[in-house]
Amino acid sequence: MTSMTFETLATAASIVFQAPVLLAILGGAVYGLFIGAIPGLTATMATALLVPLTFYLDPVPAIALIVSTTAMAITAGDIPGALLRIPGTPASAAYVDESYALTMKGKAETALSIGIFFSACGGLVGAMVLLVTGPLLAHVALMFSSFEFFWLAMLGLMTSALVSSSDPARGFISLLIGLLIATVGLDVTSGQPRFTFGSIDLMGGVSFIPVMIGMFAFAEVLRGFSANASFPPAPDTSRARPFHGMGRLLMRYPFSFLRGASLGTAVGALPGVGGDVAAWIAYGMSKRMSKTPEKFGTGHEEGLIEASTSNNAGLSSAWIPALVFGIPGDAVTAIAVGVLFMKGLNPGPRLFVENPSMPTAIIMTFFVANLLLFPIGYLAIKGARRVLSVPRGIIVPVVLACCILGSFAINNSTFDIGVMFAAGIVGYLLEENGFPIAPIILGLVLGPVLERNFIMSMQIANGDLLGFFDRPIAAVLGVIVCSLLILPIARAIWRGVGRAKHP
Amino acid sequence: MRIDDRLIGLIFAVLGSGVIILAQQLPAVPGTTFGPNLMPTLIGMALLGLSIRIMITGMRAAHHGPWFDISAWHGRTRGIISAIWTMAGVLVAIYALPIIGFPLLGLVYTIGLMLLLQIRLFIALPVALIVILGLQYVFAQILYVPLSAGPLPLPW
Repeated sequence: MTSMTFETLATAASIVFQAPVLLAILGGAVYGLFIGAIPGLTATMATALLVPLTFYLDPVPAIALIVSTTAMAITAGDIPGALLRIPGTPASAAYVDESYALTMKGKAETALSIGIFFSACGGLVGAMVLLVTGPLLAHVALMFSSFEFFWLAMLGLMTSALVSSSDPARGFISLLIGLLIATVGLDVTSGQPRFTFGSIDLMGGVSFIPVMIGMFAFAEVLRGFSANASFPPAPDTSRARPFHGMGRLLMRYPFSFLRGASLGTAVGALPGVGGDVAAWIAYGMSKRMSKTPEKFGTGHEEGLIEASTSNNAGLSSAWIPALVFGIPGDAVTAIAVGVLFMKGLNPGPRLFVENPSMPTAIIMTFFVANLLLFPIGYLAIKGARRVLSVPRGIIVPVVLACCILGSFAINNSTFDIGVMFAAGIVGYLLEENGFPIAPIILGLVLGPVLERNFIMSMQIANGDLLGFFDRPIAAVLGVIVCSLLILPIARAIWRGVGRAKHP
Repeated sequence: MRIDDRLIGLIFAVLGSGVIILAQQLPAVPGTTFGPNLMPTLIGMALLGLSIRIMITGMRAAHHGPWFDISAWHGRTRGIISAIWTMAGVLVAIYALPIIGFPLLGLVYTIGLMLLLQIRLFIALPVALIVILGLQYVFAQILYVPLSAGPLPLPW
């Protein structure tokens, strides 16, 4: 039985409440605050740059660092959104106009406070759902065979490819590039070298960390050189009273908060979707369900509450598929799953059974990280102008030095700096041409999982593809995946027929 | 830099075909039906199919722009030089990091880029010194990464 026991909770707490873990959470929060608040630097990039450091940490502080960094970076992304109308991270883009309109009405402290207060509350709800459902789902997942894991991995990959770009073909090509990179090295089933071209460095496969640093950080820096890098001065918030009136807003819009939390949790938990999408859906839904939809866009708190709550709730719940099934929900959890694999702590239902205190400790770090958002967020509101005034000309070279050093430190090899460089150039070109990056990382991390379960399932089913639908859960997952694949094709054909009939 | 869809499609079609051809050359594993070539072949086929779709969409487009559109970089001389400096620095790191060492390379690289990005020398110099020496200390002394110190004398 994998349900949560008091003993598990106590052991997990004893792991979490230790100096290295708490320091990792605090350090991650401060670092996440800076990266998230600076436009153009994303939470994923912050995580990518951290990974080389996690290499040298124990599993729980390593994951705590990632959790805390992303929670703070996503939250801090609201700061430039509210003050400059420039979303700090893509997750804040959904409601940037609304929060800026609130600032224009002279309510900058309310806009910033909503962003931080409701993000933290949403994150806590997501963490609670993760704590409760994780062990229960793990119990169900214990019955999974290679067929279910194959379909789950497919579901995560397909959804990520579909939601990350307006053109599904581009999303799928990104995904295939990730899967292709994952095939380099020794084959997972036979041990045969594949696409290594005689290089010893490639025998162990392409390290996902330099690829990720290249695609998220190096490429972002290159893109920044072609964009307008100067921002207008931000309004002064040093005299603001952070979180003032938040209780009143919570009482006024309880359903917005609850809807944002539940929607964010549900959307974030879908394999391959993640938290960013949740904010867009939540903001749209808030407008549709509101009694005063005409106020949206004019600096109205309702939509902001719902969307802010949902993006951090989604951030926490995105870890459900990552921890329980080992199938990451977005780029950040893909990185975390990669880190856990690197540490020999394979995420999946077995982890909840064999070592339940470890996943529980990881989940507990979410509570600490989200609670820490309140004091750090308080300081962030007070010092927002200072954070935003750090010149890009200083940040960019520091990020680049970290890119080089981080890539080198993984295997102590300059070959990985080359991998980072190549990935950065390719990532820049792909994103400039509308190819999303997240599916590449998901493909890279999930590629071996997908291939191992696919080959195993093919062998069990003796090559009969109908065998993939023999077990009930596998059949349901298989039908969902096939519909996801067929629907865009059917829609394209339908549109083509329609155009032919009515040219 | 935007590339025309017809050319993008062609590039991925070549990649997909190459993957399929190379996958067929992978040796089969005796006793198993599904060998190391199965996954790459499927990936190659899917890449080929999708690239053809992108190529067709590109051909059907009402208006064809240039094959390579670099208008985003027009008038951004400083940005172009910064990008070249950035890439050149990484290339130097790939080939000469063990000889030059991280402190010297890092200092020249970051100070140069800061100056290009219009940070004044009296700010760039101390910031670069703190950051680069701090990174060298953390990675080499605390995390035991065998990071070459190069010719620069270090305080530890």
